[in-house]
Amino acid sequence: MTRATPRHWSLMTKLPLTITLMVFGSALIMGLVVIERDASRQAAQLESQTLALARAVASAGQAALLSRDTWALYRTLDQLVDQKSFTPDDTPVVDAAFLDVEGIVLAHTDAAVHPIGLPLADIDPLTIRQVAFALGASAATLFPAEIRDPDTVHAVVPLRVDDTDVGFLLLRSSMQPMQVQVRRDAWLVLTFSLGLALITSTIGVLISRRMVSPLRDLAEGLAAVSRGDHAPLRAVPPVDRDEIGQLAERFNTMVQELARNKRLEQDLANAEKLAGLGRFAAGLAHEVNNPLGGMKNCVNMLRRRPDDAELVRKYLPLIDTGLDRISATIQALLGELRGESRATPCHMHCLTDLEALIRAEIAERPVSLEWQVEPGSLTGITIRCTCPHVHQIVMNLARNAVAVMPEGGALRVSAKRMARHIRIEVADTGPGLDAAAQHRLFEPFYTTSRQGTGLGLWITYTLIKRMGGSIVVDSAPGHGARFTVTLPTETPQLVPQKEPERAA
Amino acid sequence: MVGRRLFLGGAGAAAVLAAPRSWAALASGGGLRIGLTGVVVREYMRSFNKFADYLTLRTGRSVEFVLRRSYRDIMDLLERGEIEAAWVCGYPYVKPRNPEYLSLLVAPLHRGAPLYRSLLIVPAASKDAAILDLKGKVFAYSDPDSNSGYMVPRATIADAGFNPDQFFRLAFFTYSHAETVIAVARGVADGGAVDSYVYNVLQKFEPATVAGTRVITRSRQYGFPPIVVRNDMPAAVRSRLRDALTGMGADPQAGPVLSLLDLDGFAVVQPSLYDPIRNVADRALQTVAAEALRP
Repeated sequence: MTRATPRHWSLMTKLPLTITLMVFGSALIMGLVVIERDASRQAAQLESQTLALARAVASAGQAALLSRDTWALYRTLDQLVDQKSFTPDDTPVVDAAFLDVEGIVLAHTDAAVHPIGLPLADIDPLTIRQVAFALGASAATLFPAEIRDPDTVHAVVPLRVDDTDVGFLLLRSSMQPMQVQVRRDAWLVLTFSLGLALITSTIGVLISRRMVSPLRDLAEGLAAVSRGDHAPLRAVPPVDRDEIGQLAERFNTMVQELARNKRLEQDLANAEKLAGLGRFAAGLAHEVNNPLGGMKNCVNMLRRRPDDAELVRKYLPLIDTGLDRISATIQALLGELRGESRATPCHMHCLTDLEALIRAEIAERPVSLEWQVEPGSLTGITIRCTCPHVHQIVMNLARNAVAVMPEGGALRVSAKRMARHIRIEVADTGPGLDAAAQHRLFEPFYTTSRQGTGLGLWITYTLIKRMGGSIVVDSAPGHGARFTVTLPTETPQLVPQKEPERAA
Repeated sequence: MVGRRLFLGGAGAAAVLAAPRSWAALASGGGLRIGLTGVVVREYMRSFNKFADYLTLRTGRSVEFVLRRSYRDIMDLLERGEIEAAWVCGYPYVKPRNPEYLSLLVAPLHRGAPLYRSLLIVPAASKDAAILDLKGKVFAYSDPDSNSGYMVPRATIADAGFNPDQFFRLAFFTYSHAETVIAVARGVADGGAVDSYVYNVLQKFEPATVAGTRVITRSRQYGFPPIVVRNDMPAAVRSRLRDALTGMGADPQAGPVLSLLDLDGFAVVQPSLYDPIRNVADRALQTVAAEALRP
């Protein structure tokens, strides 16, 4: 289901994934912003604390510095780095020192490394720059980052008495406890925000899957409908009363309607079949009944007067005629089709023989014939059929056309070679056919004239079907009719023989 | 009894830090104020509160200890009569006064005798082995009027032919033997001179601090810092105080106090016990005077 590009992914995947990514992304961004703010706030706090502490220590040590009370000066500083009294709220002082105006150490918390009475600056270039910066400071200030030890905040406070510099206090605090705190806060913030994101995105995923699942059912349902497979369709349960829910409800209604229509269609088709069968039986009964009535009368007369030779001579031919008629009807229904169906290839140029026959059929009627069959174009074409059958198809259509134009008209017959079939058209300018007539046109015994048996078009239709061809009628009342017959030029095989027997 | 203990316990701490005038007036009627100097570990408040309680019990007068930064501050209080007695160093006692207003009462007994030494200490990691090795370095004196913490090392330097004022790169006063030990232990000073009694007390109660130092030389024995009283102290009060102090060694009730002070008791001693200190001070200060007069 999931393919290479996200455009092909299922909504069931895309929607939860989008929600999850967005929730996690925003949680991460917010978390990082909070962490960044926390870090800068804590750094600023440490800086201001360090500066405030340095000012206080400088003030406390000023008297001792003026009186060169070295031990008191040291005692002012050493409390700062007494680790025993250290609490998280204290400023984490690394070291502190009092210098005189020439950079000589007066007191240093790390006395063993920075002896009293010697310059603070040694060969270490950073310390030299720091002392130079400190001796130039005119007010309490922090060392700029470039001359500060990393991970420390470094403050200098000049001690001034009556506008005269008397010394400096240097105080350095560690950023490490703050960084540890910031890291701890960062973990807390990240854990909390990502945990919250996990919960909210899980909820989002569940909600979105619940919302999308009817769409998937709908898609499957629509696919089943398009396959024509709507009988066993299960209804898509509407989850909510939102747009998707309404869609599901309408889909269910549509499926019910389709199922009902299909049932109606089947009922209608069954009724049609039964009605057609009834009409077929009625037509057959009529065709058989008419001669039977005359024959029964003849037989009754002959039974009453069996010795009347005149009567026998007169009635026996009548009985023969009746029997012939019944036989012809049955023959038309069965025999015609059965005997000739073992067909051999037929050369289509045999059609050219038909023109004379059709003109004979027209005889004296005021009907003009337009004959559009070019003998050359049909040479070499063969179809799996016999010439009499092709003759019969065209003659039946032409005869009907002539019959519906007693007052005169135009008849056009054409044959054209197409890519893999031959198309024969028979058109008249007669009264045309309404939709109901077109529907029943090819049923056996359907006729619009008193003389016809109603079997001609049925036989035509059956022959064409057996050849693997088709016939369509294009007509409207008052606008004539055009019958188009299409016969394949490569008929793969003939329909099995038992077909006509079933029709009987 | 209980009331007085509460009174002393509550007021003692505040009183010893800054005795108000009204309190001084009240106490002068019958109280006894004893000044403490850096010859003892003044920060051991608990010990001195117990000591005061004990003396109050034994003398029948409310006794309190008064703390000041330097020996000189305490001597000023004595001179002005703001305190009646003091536990001072041998040198302030022998320092000439005119007219003399002080007299020797008793001397403490430490490890069986009213004697102590001046110890020269250096940081534990230091390689210096004698005071001459400290030339050009930083030195911590305890008090300008201390025998063991000032006079003895200066006399040693002078005896070696150096001017004590120019011998060190820098020298400073801690105004307390205990602070000198801390200054040397932390490396603020490269060396220091301390009272052997204070050093022993610290070794007993704060071994970690003392472990940061090392004794490189010991002086000869000198008279232990004595308890002196003003001459105008009534004889009855003086004898009650002296009896209370000298009786401590045999008094089981004084045991805890003496144990906290790391003393065996107090004894009446002859003023001549402090003559050697006078001698040292002369040597230490003569050099200064000679240097000062040099053109």
